[in-house]
Amino acid sequence: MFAKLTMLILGLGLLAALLLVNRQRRYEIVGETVRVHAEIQQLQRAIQERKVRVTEATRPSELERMRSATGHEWKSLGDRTVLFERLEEHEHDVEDASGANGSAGQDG
Amino acid sequence: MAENRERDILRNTARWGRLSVGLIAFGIAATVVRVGWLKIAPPAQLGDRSGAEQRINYEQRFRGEITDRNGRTLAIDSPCWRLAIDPRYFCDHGYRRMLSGESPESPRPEGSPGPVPVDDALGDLVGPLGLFQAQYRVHKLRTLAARLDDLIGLPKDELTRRLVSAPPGRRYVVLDRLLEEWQVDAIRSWLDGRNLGMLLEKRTERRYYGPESLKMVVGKCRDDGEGGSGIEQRRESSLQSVRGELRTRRTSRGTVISIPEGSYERGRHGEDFALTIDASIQLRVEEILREQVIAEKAGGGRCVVIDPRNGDILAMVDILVRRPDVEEVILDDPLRRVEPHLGRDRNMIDAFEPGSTFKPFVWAGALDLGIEDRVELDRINVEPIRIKGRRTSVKDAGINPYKGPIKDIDTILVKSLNTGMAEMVRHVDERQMRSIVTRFGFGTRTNCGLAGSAEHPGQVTSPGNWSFANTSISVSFGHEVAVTTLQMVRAFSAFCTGGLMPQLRISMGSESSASEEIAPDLLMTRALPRTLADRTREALREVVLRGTLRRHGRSERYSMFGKSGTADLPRPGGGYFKDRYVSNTIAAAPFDRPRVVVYCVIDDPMVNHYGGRVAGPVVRQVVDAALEHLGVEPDLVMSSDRHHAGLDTSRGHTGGE
Repeated sequence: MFAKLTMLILGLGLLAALLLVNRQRRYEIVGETVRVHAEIQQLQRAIQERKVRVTEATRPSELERMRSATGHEWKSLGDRTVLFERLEEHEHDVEDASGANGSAGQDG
Repeated sequence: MAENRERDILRNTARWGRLSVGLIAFGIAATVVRVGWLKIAPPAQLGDRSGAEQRINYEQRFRGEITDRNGRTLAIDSPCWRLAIDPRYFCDHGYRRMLSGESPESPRPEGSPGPVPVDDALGDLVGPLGLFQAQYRVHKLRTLAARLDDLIGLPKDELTRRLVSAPPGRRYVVLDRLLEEWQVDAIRSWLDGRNLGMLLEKRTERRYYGPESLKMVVGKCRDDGEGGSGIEQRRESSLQSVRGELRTRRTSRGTVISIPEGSYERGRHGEDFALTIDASIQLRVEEILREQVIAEKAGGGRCVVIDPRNGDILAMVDILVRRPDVEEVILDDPLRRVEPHLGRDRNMIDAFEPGSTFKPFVWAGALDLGIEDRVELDRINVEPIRIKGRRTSVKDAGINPYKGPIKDIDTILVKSLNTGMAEMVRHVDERQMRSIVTRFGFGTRTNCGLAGSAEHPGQVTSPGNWSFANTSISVSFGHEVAVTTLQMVRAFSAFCTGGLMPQLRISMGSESSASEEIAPDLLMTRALPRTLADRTREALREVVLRGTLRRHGRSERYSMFGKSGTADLPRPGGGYFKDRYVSNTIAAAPFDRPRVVVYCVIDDPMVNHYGGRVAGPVVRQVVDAALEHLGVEPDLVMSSDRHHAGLDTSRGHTGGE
């Protein structure tokens, strides 16, 4: 009888300890969740601040100030599709030219 | 017998004992299970009664950005802090805590009021003396203002005024709307955990960038964060952000106990919105137009640049000037002087008579009706034409009207002959004439996505009131019809795209509307057959080479085609001024594959008045600047080769407009 009661009490004690551990885990997890949530908010705010800084640093007036400081003349890149077409044409021309030179060399 | 009885008693006792132990064990087990259940998954209804505090963490979300077509930011939310205080709490508790945190040796901030020879106890003692208490309250608030001035540079006089003038019952007074990070750090360090009744709140401030002339397009947000004008208002539903929140249960000491189910609501950032406007082109157009408005001492100017291939509005500028020495008749816009974001964009809202710039549409529409063979060229440009039922005769305008030969019907357009237009429409009945005007979209809104129902549809005389003598004739050279600049560029695009008019648009489309966006080529409306559109374009090139635009409106780098016009300025009470005008020019370039249509209107210029002379230079400069920016190769050789390119300026004659 004593042994049974002892087993019962130990069992209940173990169960209580498990419950306590479980509760502590849960507190830690929700605490961590809230901390991570706050950190994400902080990072999003920081990202937005960076966006504003980038916007201010790339204002036309600011770019113009930087350009005049370097003393270089800037030109518009213009229509990108046209630019890429020209680059491709140029690459083809270079390939054709190198191919022609190569075959000429072999013939010679 | 006695033994049997004793055995029975023992048996019964053991049975009851086992039963009792069993019941107790069951009770304990049930209790443990219930406790475990409550700890692991407590029912929601117990959450509010458990003694724990509920706290809400708000997720800050940002309103969508507004950008130009290249992603350059025009409006963005900037995170900032707001400093507020509860004056009553500060006076009751915070003041004493503030003083207790400062060492007696610490130097008193400059301007801080000196010590008051009383304390709170004396204040309580003489409580009925309300005047004394009020003075003491003012002293406390002045001390706080001086501390903040010393700490983060907030003006103490302004702070004192704000704090003292707040009604006594108010528990929330904003001290500063936009604190910077270093100020926030300084305040936190100063407070050092003390509760003085001050509150630092996360806020956002809407910041605007880009050219000044773009402000009325972008619009502005109100103090409550909702769009109040322009795109900010029109796109409120997609730009608006939704704040999220996370509700937690905490102990009285702030330790998080649980996050109840369903207590997290995710926030949403607003959607970014891209305009079709190119901020660089807009800025350049603004500079060029402003320069010309000043040079011509004009009352204002408007200029629109679009891509005729898809209807994208690349720039839209409106400048309005008030001249102290001139009796202004152009409708004023006082709001834009108060706040540029609230201005009325006259490109959409104000309609006007364009004058000769309207002739290409009537000319092309009349040719489409097959009247070319019926036009008697020898009736044109001989003398003023009198028309029955019309008060004034039709004559060619200009200080030096064209008197040369009329070789063909194109000469009517190239030399901008009013008599020629009158002769052409003589063969067109009233219904057909009105149809020519409406097929180019005049009389209907462009619905470009900006002004909504506030956009002016223009004015086209109703069929019942349309008459040949007073309407058809006048409309043929751009009178008796009112248009907006947007309608003009839309209609002129038909000469660039083989007779198709694009749907104008100010929006590149947002993320959510991308799937609903209709391909631009499906939004083209045919106004003319391709052959006739190309023929009109040829005639309009002659206007630039040999007509009214040859001197001031012709680019040396890009082949242009266009038309100028000079309309009389209407009097407010009716009729027209005889010496005040609306000068305008419309053109497109390059000739073979037009990439831009540019339309400029200069209101009431005082130095010159012919459209080609006043608005032509603006259009020419804008064409050069816009095409160079877009990377379009110049298609004309420079001035040294002008003769070979057929650009000899010695030929031709400038007629009227």
